[in-house]
Amino acid sequence: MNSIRLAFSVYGQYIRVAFASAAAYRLDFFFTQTVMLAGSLLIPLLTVLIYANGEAIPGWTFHEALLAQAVFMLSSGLCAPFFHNVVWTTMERVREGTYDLLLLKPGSAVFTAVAGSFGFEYIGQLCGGAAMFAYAAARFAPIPAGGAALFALLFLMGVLLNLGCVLMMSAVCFKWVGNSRVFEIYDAVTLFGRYPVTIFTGALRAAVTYVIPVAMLGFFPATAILGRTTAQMAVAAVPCVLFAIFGYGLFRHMIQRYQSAGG
Amino acid sequence: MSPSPNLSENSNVETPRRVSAGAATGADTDANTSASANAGAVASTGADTSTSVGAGVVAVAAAGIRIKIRVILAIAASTYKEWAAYRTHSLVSVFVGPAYFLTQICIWRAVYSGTDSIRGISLDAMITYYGVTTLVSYLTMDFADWNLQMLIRTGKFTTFVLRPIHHRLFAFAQKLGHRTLGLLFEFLPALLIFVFIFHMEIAPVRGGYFLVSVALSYIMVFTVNYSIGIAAFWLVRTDGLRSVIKLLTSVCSGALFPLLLLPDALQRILFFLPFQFTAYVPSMVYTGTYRLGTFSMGIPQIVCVQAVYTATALVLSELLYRFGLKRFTAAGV
Repeated sequence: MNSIRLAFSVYGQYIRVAFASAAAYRLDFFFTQTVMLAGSLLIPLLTVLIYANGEAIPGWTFHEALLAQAVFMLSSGLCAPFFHNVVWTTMERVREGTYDLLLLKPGSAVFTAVAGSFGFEYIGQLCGGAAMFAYAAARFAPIPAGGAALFALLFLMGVLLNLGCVLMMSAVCFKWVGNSRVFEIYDAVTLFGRYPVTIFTGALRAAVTYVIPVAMLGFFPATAILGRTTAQMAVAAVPCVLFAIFGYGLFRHMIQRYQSAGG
Repeated sequence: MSPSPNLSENSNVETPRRVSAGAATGADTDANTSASANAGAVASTGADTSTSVGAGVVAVAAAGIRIKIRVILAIAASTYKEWAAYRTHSLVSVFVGPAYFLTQICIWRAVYSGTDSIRGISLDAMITYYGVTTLVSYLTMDFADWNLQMLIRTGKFTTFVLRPIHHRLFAFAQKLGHRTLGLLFEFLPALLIFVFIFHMEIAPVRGGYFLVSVALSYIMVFTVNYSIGIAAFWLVRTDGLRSVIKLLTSVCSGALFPLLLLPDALQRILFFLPFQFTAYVPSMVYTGTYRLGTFSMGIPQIVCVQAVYTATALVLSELLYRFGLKRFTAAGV
């Protein structure tokens, strides 16, 4: 119990440091937050334009499509400050050869890497996602308890998938040194999760549902709220867990093999 | 594509030094030689007429231009070699671009299942639009803003103030080198994927104008980004401002969707703003028709308008640079 309390305390300190660092350049911080907020609200812009021009994504009303994208935004917004900087931190530290300093700190290397990478600059994205989700979900209130519970579970699966992907990308940074574009691959893959998977056909739909289940980032949790539960949800949850486990294992493995060559 | 901080930093610290050591010194030598040769030529003929003086001036100017071109090519070649060491970074685009394109195809095929045309745009035209904007972005992309703000913030810009070449020209030469690499490792592989996998037809209606439009877009993207970088003279850190402008550009340039999908009033406003010239106009020139809001014009006309906007942007950027330079204190050196 004490170790958990200590972990939270350490995490809190890291968040405080991240805030102090972000607040050093206040104007830049303000711009960044504004952009993050506005940028996250732009994700559904194409959907808005499609429906504003009198067209539709087949089988989805405007508010249903918006809900799917809002869940995606909330999921991305929640993961960004907590996980995303792990990739950048790992990339920079490995390139500079300063990853040793992180390993010298007491405690789990993975925990230190994640906690020490808290990204205050992503708070705007989280706020944007939360606001959009509140707006979209309010259209379907009251949400039945069963639907809400299923939503929470599937949403958690999406977070696990996200965490697994981030840890895998971070692990890759130990070998693919200094590649700042690794996140673009992640963005390109998760792009398929921004829209209802019903727009995809054949192998592509199977891939985004079961192989890299980005459908879990928005589509499946949203359908839980809408009461459209399917067996696919349960099947898609398995690879999400596997992604998280594999990502954790790979990241740990790469830390153990780290040789501090760049310093 | 976001720049790699380490690579960008290298390309501004190490590469320029290497280049300047050779190219700039060579430029000085050549300039002096040329000037001396011309002065000697004028003296030997005893030319005291305005014609011979004029010819001398022209010759000096021509020599200056030749030297500038050599310097630009040297910097571009150096930048190309530096970034070529990271070819796999460029190859990420071979996955990212087609993935984005595939998503758009799926979205629009689903949306068009119930209609033939949206705002006068057919499904084929919509898919072509996304293909062209994706390909053009490979050619025009740059991060001059990131580089310049980094140089100013760290004080490394000092070395550029001392060099016998305008930093803008230096940065532009770097872009030439970097995008030549982009042409080989991003544009061409993506083009092959678009043609052979997505069966996209590559046939601009007016090829010559399309090339001019892409070239102008290339300069416009650079000029806008460079101007954002100049803001570091005042703000030191410009990450936030860069993000704001990039966000505005992504929406208003037509890179995310055809601007014709926007409300008419907004289209009319966007017609007068420079954003459309970075993505929307080249794509429209490719298709052979241009309209935005209530404005409709021929391809030669819109390319002329694009040229005027690009020239204006260059002038404004230079003015901004001169004001900004007065504030530079080389803090951090």
